[in-house]
Order: sequence, then structure tokens, then C-alpha cells
Amino acid sequence: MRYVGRLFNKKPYGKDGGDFVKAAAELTAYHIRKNKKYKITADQSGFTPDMLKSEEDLCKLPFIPTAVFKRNRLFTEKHFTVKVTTSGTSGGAGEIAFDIPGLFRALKMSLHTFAYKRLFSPRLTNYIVFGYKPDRKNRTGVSKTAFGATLFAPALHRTYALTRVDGKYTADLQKICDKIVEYSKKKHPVRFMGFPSYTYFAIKLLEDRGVNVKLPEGSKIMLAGGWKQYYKEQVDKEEFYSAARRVLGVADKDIIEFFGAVEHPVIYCDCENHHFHVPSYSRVIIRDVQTLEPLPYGRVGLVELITPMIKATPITAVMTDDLGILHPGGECGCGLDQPYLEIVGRVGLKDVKTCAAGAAELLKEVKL
Amino acid sequence: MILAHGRIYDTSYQNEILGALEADTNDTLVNKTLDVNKLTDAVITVAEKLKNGEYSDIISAVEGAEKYVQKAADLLSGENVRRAVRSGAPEIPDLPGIDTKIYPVGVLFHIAAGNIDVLPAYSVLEGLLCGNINVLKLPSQDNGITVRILSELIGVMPELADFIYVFDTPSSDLAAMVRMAEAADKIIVWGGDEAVAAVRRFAPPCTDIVVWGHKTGFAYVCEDYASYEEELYGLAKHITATGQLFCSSCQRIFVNTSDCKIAESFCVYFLRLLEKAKEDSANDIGAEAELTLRKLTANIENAINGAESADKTYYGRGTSVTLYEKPELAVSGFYGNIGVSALPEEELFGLLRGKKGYLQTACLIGCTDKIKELALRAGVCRVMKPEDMSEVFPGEGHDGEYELQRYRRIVNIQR
Repeated sequence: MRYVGRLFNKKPYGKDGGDFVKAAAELTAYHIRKNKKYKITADQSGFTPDMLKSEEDLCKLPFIPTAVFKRNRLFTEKHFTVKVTTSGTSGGAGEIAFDIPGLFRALKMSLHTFAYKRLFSPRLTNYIVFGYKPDRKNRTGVSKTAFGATLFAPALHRTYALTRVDGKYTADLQKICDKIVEYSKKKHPVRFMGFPSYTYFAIKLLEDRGVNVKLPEGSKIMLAGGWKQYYKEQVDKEEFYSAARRVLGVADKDIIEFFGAVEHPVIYCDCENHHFHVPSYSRVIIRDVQTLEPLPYGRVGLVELITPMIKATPITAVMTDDLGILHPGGECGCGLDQPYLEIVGRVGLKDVKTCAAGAAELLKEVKL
Repeated sequence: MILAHGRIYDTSYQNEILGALEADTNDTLVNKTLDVNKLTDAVITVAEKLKNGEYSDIISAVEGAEKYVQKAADLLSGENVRRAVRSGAPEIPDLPGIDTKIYPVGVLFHIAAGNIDVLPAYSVLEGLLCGNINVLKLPSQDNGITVRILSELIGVMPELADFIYVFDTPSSDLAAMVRMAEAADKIIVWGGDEAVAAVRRFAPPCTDIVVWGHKTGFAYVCEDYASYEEELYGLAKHITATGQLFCSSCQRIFVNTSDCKIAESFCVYFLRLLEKAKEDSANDIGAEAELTLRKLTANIENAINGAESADKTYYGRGTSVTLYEKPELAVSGFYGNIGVSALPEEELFGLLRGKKGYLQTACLIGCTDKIKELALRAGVCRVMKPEDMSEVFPGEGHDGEYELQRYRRIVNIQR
């Protein structure tokens, strides 16, 4: 895995000298050799690794919808792996196995990315985690990511918004708001990490109470995990940033958003203009929602994510449930050349209103 | 939000209003009578305002409603409302020594589905036209339009205030639903099997339930289908225009043959018409993407699990036609994705009877009168032209009966 190893030693936004394509060919050849089910999907799409000669050929990779991983065990390696549960927001949770070298690649990528975003700090920090409190029963990727983010700066305290009570997760935003007020009076910076929905709800709750605080210097709001079941309450970014400025005194530059998924464990960080530029470890193909043909820049379609990171599960090219647009890097103006991905929605029949008999079953299958 | 006695209350008043519901409705039943002629005039006034664009803010809140404004105004015209009232009125026989009168049922508890935005208000209006008190539980998806419409009506005719109660109670609040049911003479439930089953579980045994359930439309096409291109294109237009979302929408096409090859040829032929019809219809990109992903997922899962299906899908741009080996009257997948099966005439009746509670609209292309009679005897209530499968028209029956007949009582009094 020469090229796979080399790729993850690179900086997040540099030139890769063709290593990405070579790494993808190397890894897919491995999966085809070791994983009968993956070979079937490759055969089904007429793919062989020698077809990968340039970036343009990446669209020939067999892409697998995330739903397939949720309902099937497609592991290439079964031993010496770490299994992570997917979020389960689109039709049940599944498991992705990570091999140990793959985890090290993920770690290297994370260190490169967070260093690039200057998130490491030696200062003691109070954390508010708008996510799940980790426990043995919770193996979701999002809880691990949130916990991982509390290691960027040494934690003085960690307060979790979602805690398990009688087997169910409940959000205690009142408690969180009290903690925010308490931490705002200390000298240590405060870092928020987690779901944007709960973060926003807490900010609005403070505002409704008439509370405006100024978080200590160096405080940051880190957002990850998407709006999930609160997609209807989703606010645009400007409204979010404006509320954070008003209520917490946190400037735009200190609000950092992450994008990623267990099925595509590459971390996307937003730039100063809050765009998700595609890092060196990943590629994005936007596909037509009807024909699945690749689309040019600026067109809305299904988001396919590619990374040659993991040997234990063939997640090299996954088709997500997201609808997105890929923009040329130059349109952003932040200085990065890499194209950036804009997520504009999720697939789904969730808002369909119908009186056709039997539709309930159909809609239930795709509950988002 | 609660609407009671013509006023809007916060949801927190629910228990208080429900606590007085039985006493309040009893008081109205004893002391007040709804003047249906006056109500008809009020409806006409609202319909006129609708036509004149006075409710543009309400209309714009409902996705795609603009194109139905004229149709709605026509349906609510004086002539049509009076026709609806008449059509629901039974003929009164002249019985010796007996007086026969028509009374309202009393209190109707409407549990409305959220699949059509104006349906909850419409259901209440039907109850009012028969003189009933109406208690409405809003669907969770209600966007506020129901209370707006009913408040407008109360504004035009203030005495309606004691005949309309609207609660935004969630379905999970069973205790509140039971209290509404206990105050009612009849429960009117709109919705799918799950909603109906839930109502049957909590309804008092002596309370009648009127079910306006979900239905499945279909088309039956003769073997010589190629001679009916115009009709089949009409069917394709209906499929793409309605998105197959209505009770009356075509979900399956059955070809009158036992030869699967003929059904297969039909799929290829019809896909071309469907693609052509799709060019003119609006897309829901999220739904299309979902359907595409689902097909892709099924293909991969079938391949990796060695469960290749005998069903075969023909893909077009934004459309698909799936040939199902086993004929079944079932939902197809919406937005120009239709299922086709071979179904010889002698097996049609049996298949339809297996779905008797779900039958409503059919279109028959190149079929004999015998087939039409079979479909009607099996339980089909509407036989429409292909392009008009989901058309509504004044005076039509609803799932085989006039709704208003269900909302009245016949009273016999011996002289």
C-alpha cells in the first residue's frame, strides 16, 4: 500500500502528484482480491483497477450507497479491526470496520487537518459537547469524533448536552445554558463541539432568557454531525453566526464546521468563507439524480465521496444520501484552489404527502 | 393552537377546553340549530373571496395550491354546494302514521390526515353542511391553514363558533383523543391503515367510525395496446402530472395477457410515452434521488446476496417501468415509476377482490364492457379516462357513497 501510505502523509490542501489515483487503484485492487462481495459490485459495473489512470477515471470506481453498509456486512478484513457504528439517520445503523493501519492514516489526516486549522492549544479549556456522552453502549462515530475534539486542548471540564437516562438520550439544554453562563465568567476558553441543531437551540434559549455573554478569548464553536432530525429547523449559516456573535460574543472566524461520515472518514473543515474545500485525502463526484452520470461544477446531484483510506471495509467510493453542488475552488476567494462542496439537502420522500394505499410502508423505509 | 367558540387559544388550554367539551356541545345541541342555507351563503362568500384573490397569503402558503384555486372556487360555488347537500339527503318515504325527519348526527370527531392541506377544513365543512358540531384533531403536518380557513368562515357567519372545535393535539396524546371521541357521536377518520387501526383501538365501542382510507388506482390495458397510443399517452401524462400521490393515481398497469413477453414489450413501449410525458412535469429532486438510490441499492444487494429477482426494471430519464412477474395491486414508487404485470382477464376479478378495501379508481384501455362490469363488481367505484384518473367533479361519490349521507340521522316519529 505504498501510495495509500504516501497520500495520508500529505498536507490537507497540497498537490498530490497523482498519488490519489494510484492509491485508489492500489486499494480497490486489494478489495477486489480479498472481498468477494466487492468483486461482484466491481464486476457489475465493469470496473478493473487498471482503468484508473487519471483523476477523470475516478468516476469509474464502483460506488456503493451508504444504505448497503447499513444492511450488509461487507468487511474485507475481519480480524484486528475496530468497528464503528454509523449514525443511523437514513434507514438504520450499520457498522464499518477500520483496520489498524487505516486508523493510523485517519489519525495522521486528523492531525494534519486540525494543525492546519490551528485547533491545537496548550491552554486548559472548558468543553460543552452538544452530542452524546460516550459510554460503552454508544459506538457511534459521531460520539467518538466529538470526544476526540475535546483532546485538541487539555480539558478542564466536559459537559454533555445529550445524556442517557433510562436507556434513552435526552437533551438538557437548560443545564447547558447554565454551564455556558458559568464558564463565561472564568478565564479559561470555552469550546463547543457537536451538533449544530442543539448548539443553535442553546444559543436561542439563552437569547430568550435575555442572556448575552462574552466567552473568554480563544473560545471556539466547532460544529459537526449535521442537523439530523431537526432538518426543518435548520437555519442558514449567516443567522447562526449572527446569533453566536450576539449571544456568546464569538466571532465568525472562531466558528469552525466539520463535515464527514463514518462511511467516508475524511475530515472536511470549512475555510474562512465557511466553504468545505475538498482535502487531499478525498474526492467528490456529483452525480445526476436520475442517470447517476457525473455532473459538472455548479449542478445539484447526489454526492459521491472517494477516499483510499481503509482496507477493512470497501468504502473507497460511497454514494451518500446528500444532495450537493461542487464549486470551483477559485469561486470561494479564500485562496484555496481545491473545489468546494456545498451540501444543499438530503434525498428523501419524507415530505411527500400522499393518500395512496401502502405508501406508509414505502415512506417508512426511507425515514430520514 | 386551539380554535374553540370562535377564539384562538394556546395549546396549554387543551385540558380546560376538553374538560368542558361535553357540556358545551350538549348545550349547543339543545339550544342551537345551524342554518344550512345561511352556511351555504357563507361558503359562497368565502369562495367568491377566494376567486377574487383575497386569500392569496393562505394560498401561497400551500405548495402548488395556486393551480387549484379556480377549481376549489368552482367546487364551492352555490350550485355545487347545494348539489352536495341535496346528494347527501336521502329520499324520505311516505310511511303511514310515521313522520320521517333528517337530523344531524350530533357531534363529529374528525381525525384528518395531512396528505392534502385543505382536507381537514373540508371535512369540517362537510360536517357543518349537515348541521353537526365538529371537533377536529389536526394532523401533525398542518401548516396553520386549517384554522385560518375555519376562522374566515366563522368571520362570515359568527354563529358557527359553537360548531367548530380544532385541536392541535399530537396523536401520541391518547388521553385527549379519547376525550374527544367520548364527546362524539361519530368519528371520521382520514388516513392509512395505521391511523384507522389506531382509532379502532381507542374508540368507544358504541361510537360509529366513518373511514375514508387510502386507496390504490390501476389501469387495465388490452393485449393490442399499440392501437391505443393516445390513451396510453394520456395515462403517462396522468402518472407524471400527479406524481402518483393520490388515492386515484395509477400505481399499476395490468396487461390483459398471460404472455410475459407481451407485458415486457408493453414496458418498453410505455417507457417511451412516460419519458415524453415526464418532460413537461415538475421534478422533486430529493424524491427522484431517493428512488434512484433505492434502485441502485437493490441492484447491489441482489447481486451480492445472490438474490437476483425475476422482476425487471426499464429505466428512462426520470422514469422507470418495472415488470413484476407476480401481479399485485400495490404502490409503485411515485414520480413516474410504474409497475406492470401480465394479468389475464380471468384472473382480474380474483386479484381485485384480494384488495377490495383499497379499490377506488381504474382506467380501462381497450377493454370490453364485461371487464368494466367485473371491475365494478369487484369494488371499483370510479372508472375514468386515462388522463382524468385523478380529476374531481361536482356531485361525485366518495369511495362509493355520498359523504354527507354518513353525517345525518334519519328519525322516525310515530304520530
